[in-house]
Amino acid sequence: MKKLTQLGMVFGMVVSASALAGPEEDRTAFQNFYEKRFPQVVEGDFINGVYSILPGAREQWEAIEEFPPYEVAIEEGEELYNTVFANGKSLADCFDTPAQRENYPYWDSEKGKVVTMEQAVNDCRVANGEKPYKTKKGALAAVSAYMSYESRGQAINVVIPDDPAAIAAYNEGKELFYTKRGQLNFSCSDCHMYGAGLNARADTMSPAFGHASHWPVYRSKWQAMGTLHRRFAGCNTNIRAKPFKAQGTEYSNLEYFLTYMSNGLEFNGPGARK
Amino acid sequence: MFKGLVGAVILGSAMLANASQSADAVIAAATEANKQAKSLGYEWNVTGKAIKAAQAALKAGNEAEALKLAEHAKYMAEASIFQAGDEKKNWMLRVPK
Amino acid sequence: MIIKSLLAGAVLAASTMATADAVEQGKAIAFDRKKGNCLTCHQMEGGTLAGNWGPPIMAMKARYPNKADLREQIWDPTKRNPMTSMPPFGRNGILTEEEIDLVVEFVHSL
Repeated sequence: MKKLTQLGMVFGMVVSASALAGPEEDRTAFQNFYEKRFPQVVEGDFINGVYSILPGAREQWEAIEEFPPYEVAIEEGEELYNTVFANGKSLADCFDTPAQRENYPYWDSEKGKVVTMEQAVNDCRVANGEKPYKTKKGALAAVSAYMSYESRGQAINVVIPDDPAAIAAYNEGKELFYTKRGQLNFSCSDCHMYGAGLNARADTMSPAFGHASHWPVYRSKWQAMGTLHRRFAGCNTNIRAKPFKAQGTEYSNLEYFLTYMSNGLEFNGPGARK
Repeated sequence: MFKGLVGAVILGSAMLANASQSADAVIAAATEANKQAKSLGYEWNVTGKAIKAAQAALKAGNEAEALKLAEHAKYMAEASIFQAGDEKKNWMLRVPK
Repeated sequence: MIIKSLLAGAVLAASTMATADAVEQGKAIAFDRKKGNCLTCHQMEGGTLAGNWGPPIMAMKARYPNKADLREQIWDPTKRNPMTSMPPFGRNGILTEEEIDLVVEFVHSL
């Protein structure tokens, strides 16, 4: 009994040590997990999501990518990016180049929060007296598609500064990723880490390593483009949890954690998915 | 805590039998518990729907059906609060080392 | 004597019928996508388009000699293993207690 208790204590200590591990150790352990689970995936290929582990489905997907369903959104996004606001300015005046993907998400110490690329677009609109775009689809997804397209090939390199508030935001995103929610009791990690590669009915669960690389996405199921936060909300709805607000603190922190976990991969958005 | 939850449900069923507990009161209790779940970040999307369905049944004059739906909503709201506490302990187990 | 055994036979037949009925009802709940939806993760005899997330459901009497243990596992599998992805069908009110009883009858028959 005593031994058991001691074992329990040691186990407890190991557990809390890993829960409190710094972002860098987290990332190494996270990436190692997927590299071990899917040794056949060549370096960098996790950006292709579930297709990195499904050679059969990949061929179909590559055929779709030859006439990408997100092309219209890229054109629409470019137009919106250069459209002049009532005050004579445009989105183009807020950014030095549309190829902004590598700069987001980042910790804004003045605002005291994580800022995503989509949030920066809306902040720009509001600063210029325009209404913010809706956050899940439509114009914002189009602008995001254009900017992501212009950024293809940039390295994912999210920085977690040595600032307690930034680390707290990272930790909140991390906790959300590993926490079971909803009536069906699933965490992101249940499906996209421990379930990655397994099938729910005929659907293979995609690995979370690389998840943040290819947004926004044209999803056949939506018959439209959607932002990463739209997908978060959809996943939460599937597990019967009440989704959080797109571009709210919870999902922005989750994006911060999830993108940081993929540091070292390339941005390759926009994407096309089932 | 969870034993309390199960107990509450058994108690709820007993109340259903004598119908002394009004559907109105159970709807209020379910709404209150669901608010708490929301403040914890653990609200389920099925709970609010069940509360609405209970309210609709009550409005239609179907007290028994309203009570049954409200009891279920209350159970789910309390189970989501339990989940919040349970996960505070368990989420760390899933972080790879 | 004859009457007695006849009676016993009738009682036996009735209870077997009740069990067979429960198994059928349990199967319907288990396969219903809005209820148990077990096939999402488990292969089960009589079901199609199953996933492979969880183990195939077979030899259940050997795996769960005690039916109550199986019921516990379906009611809240996280009790035994907090890492499991299987939903706690009872704890989270996904199925009613009666529905779980029926699902247990079906699953235990596999």
